[in-house]
Amino acid sequence: MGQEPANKRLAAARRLGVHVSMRSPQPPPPTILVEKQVGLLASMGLSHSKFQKLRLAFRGAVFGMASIHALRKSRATLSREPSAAVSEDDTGAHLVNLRAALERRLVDLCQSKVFVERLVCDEQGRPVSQTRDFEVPPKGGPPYPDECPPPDMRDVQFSFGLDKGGTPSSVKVVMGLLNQAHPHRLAKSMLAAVCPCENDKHEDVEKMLRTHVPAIQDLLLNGFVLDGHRRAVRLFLTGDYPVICILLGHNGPNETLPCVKCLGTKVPIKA
Amino acid sequence: MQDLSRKHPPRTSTQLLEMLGKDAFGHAISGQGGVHKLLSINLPPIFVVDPRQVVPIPVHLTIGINSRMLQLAVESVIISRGSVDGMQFAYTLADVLGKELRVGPVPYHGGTFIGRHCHVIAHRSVRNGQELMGLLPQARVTAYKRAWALWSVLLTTLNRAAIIPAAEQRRFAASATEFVVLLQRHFPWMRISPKLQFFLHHAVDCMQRFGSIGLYGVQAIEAWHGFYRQNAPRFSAETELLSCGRLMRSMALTSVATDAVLRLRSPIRKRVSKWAKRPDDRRRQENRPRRRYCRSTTEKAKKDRRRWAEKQFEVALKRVSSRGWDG
Repeated sequence: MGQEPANKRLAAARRLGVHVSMRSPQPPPPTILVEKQVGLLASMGLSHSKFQKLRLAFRGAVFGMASIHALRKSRATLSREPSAAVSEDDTGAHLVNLRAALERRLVDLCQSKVFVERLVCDEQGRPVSQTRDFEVPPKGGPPYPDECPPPDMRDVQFSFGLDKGGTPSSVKVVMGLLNQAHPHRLAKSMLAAVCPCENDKHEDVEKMLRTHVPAIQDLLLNGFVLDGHRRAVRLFLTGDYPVICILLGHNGPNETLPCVKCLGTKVPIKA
Repeated sequence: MQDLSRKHPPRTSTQLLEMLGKDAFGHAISGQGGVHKLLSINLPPIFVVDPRQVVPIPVHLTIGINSRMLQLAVESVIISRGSVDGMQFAYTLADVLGKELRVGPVPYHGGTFIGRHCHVIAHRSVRNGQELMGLLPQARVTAYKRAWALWSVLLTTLNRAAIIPAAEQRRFAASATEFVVLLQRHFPWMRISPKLQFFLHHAVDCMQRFGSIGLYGVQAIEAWHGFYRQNAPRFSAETELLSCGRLMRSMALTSVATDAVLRLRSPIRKRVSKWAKRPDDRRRQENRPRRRYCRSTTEKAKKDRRRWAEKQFEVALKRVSSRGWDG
């Protein structure tokens, strides 16, 4: 007995004398790395056992769905990496290495070719193209006088904000990567800390952010290297009005100068 | 803040550094941070950033101004017709919003309307103010309707997560000025809050500098509360701190597989027909069958509407009486 042909449809076509196109078959889609599968499962909240059932039911091994063993091994390896390390202290749970976590996401965006340049406009409202790299000042000190990179300097844009809410109440510290489409979506933002608390007064927030402030200052001073270019970090403060006031040390909207962006007075001043 | 006729000098990062007692190079400086230099910054800043990079809180502007506009109608009726009519109007307004526009307040964010509901209210601006006919002078009703029409245009630009074309930015600036001036002229008891001032001056500036405001929105921060609550069983632990730790560990792992991974494998296909253009399209609200609710849900919605109306009335009455406004 002859061996059964692998492609029955091709064999049947040959028997019938139908011309079969010799076009090369479509390349299979690239399989997702095991570590990426771990990340996807974590974001979806799917347990390993459920994933295994799906894998068995739909013959997932053929399409590169990892086995439970491989997933567990990869998860353990990932958890030890600096970008995923988490520490707990008296204030809450924090990401240990903010730079590594952000770098990982940025590299991911660049590799997937979904990194979007965000140009800053000049006084006339025209976008200024970014032509020069960021340079770390050799003698230390601020790289630019007003804490704001010049418009023609290559940059990455981050937002930093926090908010108290939920039941039981906790403060979530969130960083957003703005160099992508729809940056305000939950899946595209990064949780930097979760701190269970009842109050979010200035001293409470100061304690919560005591590990993150130096990390962000380091980002502002040294920038990021992406695709061979050192980019400046442009940081946006976000959150509700009281949070912005707390972060800037402002006394709030009932003060004599209630605005955090200008020196407008609460009561009109007679000239 | 009532003086909106001119722009005020901007704050700078140097002022923040002075409050920390440092110069631009981080060296300690003496004799700074005195009372004459406080500028309402009485506590050491946690972050020193350029104040131009403080995002003009589009989500909170939307919620706040929308809510203020609704209250303004109740205040106007109280001033013109007295508190009994004001109360009655608040109930009518709640019924219109709930039954006709099918929007409802949420139990958080101060019990106001949020997100899509704000847009629905603004885009049905023709409907807003119809109940005011006969209760207020015609000029004030017209001004109120015009304010809603302007707000509906502004809202689209304010919350759009995209780079706004220059022409639309100019239109936004002009409409924002007209909106605030209109409110000041026809509702003179209305106080210009820092939020409204933020909207008028700084939102426009921010848009002109960075091309958009909606891109820098805070939806993600707010959404994390919901995510944590919805997935509470996944992260449950002996203490709240350990629960937070579980959430953080799980979310730290997700950073290795962002949305970008899925996009690589399955690029987004554009939908053929995005909007329901045909009048008989079943996606249109008027063609959709009314959803049927059980009696308890209907009763609860009714109770919520009454509670919202009473709260609006209380706030409006307090505001009117505190200003000593007699019409």
